Amino acid sequence: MSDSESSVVLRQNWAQNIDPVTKLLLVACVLLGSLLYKSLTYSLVVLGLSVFLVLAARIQAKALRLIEFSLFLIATIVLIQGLLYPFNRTVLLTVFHLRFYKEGLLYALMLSSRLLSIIFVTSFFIFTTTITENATYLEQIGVPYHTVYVLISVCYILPQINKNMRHIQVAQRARGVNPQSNIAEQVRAIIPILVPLITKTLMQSVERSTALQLRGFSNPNRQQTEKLTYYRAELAHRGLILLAALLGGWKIWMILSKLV
Amino acid sequence: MQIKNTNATSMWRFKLSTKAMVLIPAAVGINYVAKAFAEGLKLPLWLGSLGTYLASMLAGPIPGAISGFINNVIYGLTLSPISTIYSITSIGIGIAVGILFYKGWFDSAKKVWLAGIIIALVSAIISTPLNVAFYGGQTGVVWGDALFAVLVSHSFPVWIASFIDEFVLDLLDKIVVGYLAYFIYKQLPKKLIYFFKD
Repeated sequence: MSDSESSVVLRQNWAQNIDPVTKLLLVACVLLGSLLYKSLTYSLVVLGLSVFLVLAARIQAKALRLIEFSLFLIATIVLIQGLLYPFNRTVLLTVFHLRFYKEGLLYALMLSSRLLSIIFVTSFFIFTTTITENATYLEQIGVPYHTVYVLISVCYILPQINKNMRHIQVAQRARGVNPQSNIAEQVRAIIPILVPLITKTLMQSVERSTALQLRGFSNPNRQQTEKLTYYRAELAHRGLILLAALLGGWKIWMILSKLV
Repeated sequence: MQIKNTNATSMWRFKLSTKAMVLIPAAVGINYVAKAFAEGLKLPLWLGSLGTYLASMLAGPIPGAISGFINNVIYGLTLSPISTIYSITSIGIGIAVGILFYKGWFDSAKKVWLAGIIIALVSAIISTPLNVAFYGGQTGVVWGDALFAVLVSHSFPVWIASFIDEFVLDLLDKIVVGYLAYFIYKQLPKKLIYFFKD
């Protein structure tokens, strides 16, 4: 056991004792794993494991809200595959003269399980980590701080862009650009809002770049931040990288063996 | 003896400079806002690659590709987890725009639609296998999927129907975004363009 592991500070929730990179590697493994077999049973098993993870971390309410975003897509998959899947043979039910086939519906269920397992495992990362924690940990494990800055600053820049957009919308409305009438006018109103918004965003980037240079961002002597400790992080990284490589390799092998 | 000018700007110049570091998050932000605009107005387009286009035009294919990649990853880790897989497509779009811009395809409005077709082709070629693997060939856009449904019902192979579905949507989206980016680029203050070009 390494020093960092022996001095691990245990947090209240078990999910917070797992480091962000392990959670991201878990997402990659489920993504690769879900593609391995085109079987409903297999996809349901992967989905079951993802649901178990979400329930164990007690983030089910938040995860369900994340699913709402993809519900429409899942509904269209069920509709199109149920009606038109090329291997449709057995009629399962008829709704308003539309024949839904068993094969298509099972295929749609398999695809939906794949999507849901990816959403659930990603929600495990989203709802059990914070931006600051991710930034600190990425830098701690050796990711260049320039890269960490790029990744994390997006989260801080977005609210600023939204604020700028509201200001520009109000200003343009005062000048007579009315985005609240019909569609054609709404589309025409995009340009007077987007052009100043993008110019302002880029101008602020220039200012940010000057500020970073003046504050000595490129200085290699960085101030150390508090070191985060997690439960067996290094072991989990190695294990999951190996698993991801195995899953990816296995899938490539399956594709190649079909071609030969 | 020949003297080589090592200061000549290459399309592939890249070092994560402070300028690129601040341009990439801005491009991701522009992608977000443009996408929100398209969704808010219920347009049959995504517009979510506008920032990637501008980053590629301002700083080259690599910063463009990185902004596209980060855009999908961040979008995936905040709102729609599935969009993470399309980060590969965004890398392709960023590289394609950067190369086409460098080769002069964004010099005049007459050429932009041709560049849009090429970018749409790149995007559709990369996205089709992902659509087939995750959505059974659909794209998630209603009228594109209606076209997919018609093609499949007329016994078209799923891969071809999915490619046509994706390509038709991409064609409209990438041409419109191409013209938007071209128009915005022309309106940008020259000092901004020179700042990121260095």
